[in-house]
Amino acid sequence: MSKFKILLIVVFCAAITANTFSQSQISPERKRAIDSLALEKIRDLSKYISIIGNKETPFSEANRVIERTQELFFDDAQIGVSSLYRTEIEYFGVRTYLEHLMALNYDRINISWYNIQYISDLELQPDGRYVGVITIYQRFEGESDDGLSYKDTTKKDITVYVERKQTQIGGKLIGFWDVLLGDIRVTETMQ
Amino acid sequence: MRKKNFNTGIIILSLFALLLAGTGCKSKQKLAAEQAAVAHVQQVEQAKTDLLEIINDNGSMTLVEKENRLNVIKGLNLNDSEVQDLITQADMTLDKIRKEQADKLRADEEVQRFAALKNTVLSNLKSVANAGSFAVANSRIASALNLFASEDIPVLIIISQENGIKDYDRPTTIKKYLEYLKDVKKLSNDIENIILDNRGKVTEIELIKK
Repeated sequence: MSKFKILLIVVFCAAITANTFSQSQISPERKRAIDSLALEKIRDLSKYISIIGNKETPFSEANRVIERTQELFFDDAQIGVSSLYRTEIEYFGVRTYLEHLMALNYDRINISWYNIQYISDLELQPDGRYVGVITIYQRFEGESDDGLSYKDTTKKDITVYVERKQTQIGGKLIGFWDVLLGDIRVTETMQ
Repeated sequence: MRKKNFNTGIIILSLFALLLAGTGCKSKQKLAAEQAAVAHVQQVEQAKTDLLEIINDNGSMTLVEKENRLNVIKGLNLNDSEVQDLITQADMTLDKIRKEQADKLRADEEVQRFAALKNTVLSNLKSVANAGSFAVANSRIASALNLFASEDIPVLIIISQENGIKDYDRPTTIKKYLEYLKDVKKLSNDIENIILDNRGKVTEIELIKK
């Protein structure tokens, strides 16, 4: 019986190793496609944040975009918020962060992201997921008609998870790469 | 007595001439029959040659030319079993060519129809991405959705394909994809495939990264 258990454990370990090995065997071209896909999700996120923050965006559209933005993140992901006027960084859940962003007390808000790039390449993890970190710079400019104004640039690191999944569509089995974003951590805040 | 001898001579000569004439007529009929037989053999041989050309032709003759030649041969009503077999074979060959031509025509029409539909869908996607405001984009989304069986039809986006393996982005719906175009204001995919229902509405669309 004990020999049987050992054999079972060996087979189980071999299956896990084979699975990890087969997933790691993706070609450089496929890997590049995944890298680009993850970067594209970050660019999409930058557009969504800009739309949600923009005071000219109709309320219904901003709410719709909040829903789309949430779909990019893990449920428990958090987004950091910093300020030039305080040292600590506060972390909020994605929906709370986006709702605060939409409700900011300025008449004009302009948010733009630039220098979007990997600081840690997507690497295959033992659980079969690819994990990497993408850094971005965010320029925030808020102004009010009464003269209130705030501008800063923050450097943020976004953890990116990419996982191979399958789903049935029209009777066909579709293999797809699911990109999900983890926490957004503020690493630097400047004028 | 001399006159009697003369008459006898005339009669004998006439009988002889009659005999000669009868023999000559018989020879002419035989000759004609022989000539007809030779002509028939020649017709049969020519028909076989023509039929084999029709059967084995590799595109030097048009279908109409082949049909005309076959009809001429059929019109000869040649009573020859080999010719009849070849006529049957030629009919089958022409039926096959007609079917191939009809299939090709249908396939060409399908390619043209797909290209036209692809252009229509693509121009609708572009028009949403290029809309100057949310209101304009929403109006264009409503218009674009008329091309689709429902707003929930799946949109698959190929991010790479290699050795027959397609890698997709997370599947979405056409409504969400059109809204995505409205938000990012950029169409970075081309259409790879479209599946239609019997009403001509799109039930599935496969896009590919440019």
